[in-house]
Amino acid sequence: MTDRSDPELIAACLDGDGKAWEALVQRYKRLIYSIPFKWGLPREDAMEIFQAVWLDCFQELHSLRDVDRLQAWLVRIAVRKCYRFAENRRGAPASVELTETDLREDPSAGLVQRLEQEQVIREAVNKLSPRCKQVIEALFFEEPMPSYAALAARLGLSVNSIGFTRDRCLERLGTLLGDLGYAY
Amino acid sequence: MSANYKNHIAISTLFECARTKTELDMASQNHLRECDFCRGRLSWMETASALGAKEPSYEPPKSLMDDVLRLGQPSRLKQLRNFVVASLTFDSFRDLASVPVRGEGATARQMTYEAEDFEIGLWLRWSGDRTLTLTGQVLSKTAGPIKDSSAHVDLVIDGDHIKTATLSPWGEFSFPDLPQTRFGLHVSFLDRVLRIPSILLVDEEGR
Repeated sequence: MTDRSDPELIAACLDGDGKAWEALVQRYKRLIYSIPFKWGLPREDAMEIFQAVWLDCFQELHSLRDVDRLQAWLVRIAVRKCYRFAENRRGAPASVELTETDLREDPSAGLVQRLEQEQVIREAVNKLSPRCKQVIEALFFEEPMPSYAALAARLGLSVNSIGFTRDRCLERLGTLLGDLGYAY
Repeated sequence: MSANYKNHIAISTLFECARTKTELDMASQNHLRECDFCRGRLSWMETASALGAKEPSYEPPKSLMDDVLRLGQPSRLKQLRNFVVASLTFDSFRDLASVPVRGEGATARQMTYEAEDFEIGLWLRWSGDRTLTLTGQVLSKTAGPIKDSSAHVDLVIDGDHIKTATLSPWGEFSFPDLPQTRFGLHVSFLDRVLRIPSILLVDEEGR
């Protein structure tokens, strides 16, 4: 992951830097792809919306140079597309988890805040050292969570020291989230 | 208000609470009610836990990523340098006060934009149900219709490309049943994009 800011990446794209485009897409890919699912839309819609959002982004790069927050712009465009897709599917039975349905009912508030929190977590995790990233991803992103013995073995640590390592990585992640402006 | 640091709930305890739903003891619950610091920690851990289970499913398929990343190929990025903003050169509402299309009960508006060698004519017609149809034609002033079978026009609302129409062999396009709002157009052909930044889609009386 690059440390270049969004405006720097957009400027580089406009200068013909393909790596900058890739960095932008990599930075926000999960954020954008997650939004249709949170609206209860099926995978085929999620794929279409993902592609359409990035096509819009590509075509709007000139005007996005002056946008303060690319993330907010991307979310707004994705939410609008979800709304249109959902409207087109109105009447069709949707298989939606309860929590996601709640979010869908108030996309302007609950959904957007949740998306922002999740994106800050992704960015903070990506800024961790490789070892801490491995620990945090195992603790939070694996289902079921591995046992501490299994995690210690994976990291080449003794079971006695895994607790210390876990706490240090959690502390580090918390600090990074604070630096990145995580709001709750 | 945060308690002294030494009194904060251990980060491992908060983690177990967020990740495995382990209940806090009474002292910790009381502390949590008073302590922004610990509530903040618990909040991000709960969000991360909720995200975590689904995060792998939010990874776009590789084929989809490949399609999107292809936009970043040098040849495509080069096209970004060829965005040209078209200028309004004629507006029947503004320029022809006496012609029949303007005035009480006006149901049509004609506009012309120009950029480089190209001319974009637009016709807006309102329906009784207050939707409108936008038709247009893109022509080279010297060569006539554009010879590009992939030429197309995007209707853009606040950066959101909501509809696409292909250009006919005579450079014509049409968007029916549009709501009344502010929109832009992107006309893409060959290696360039002509942009009409913003038109307010309401009739003269703001209907």
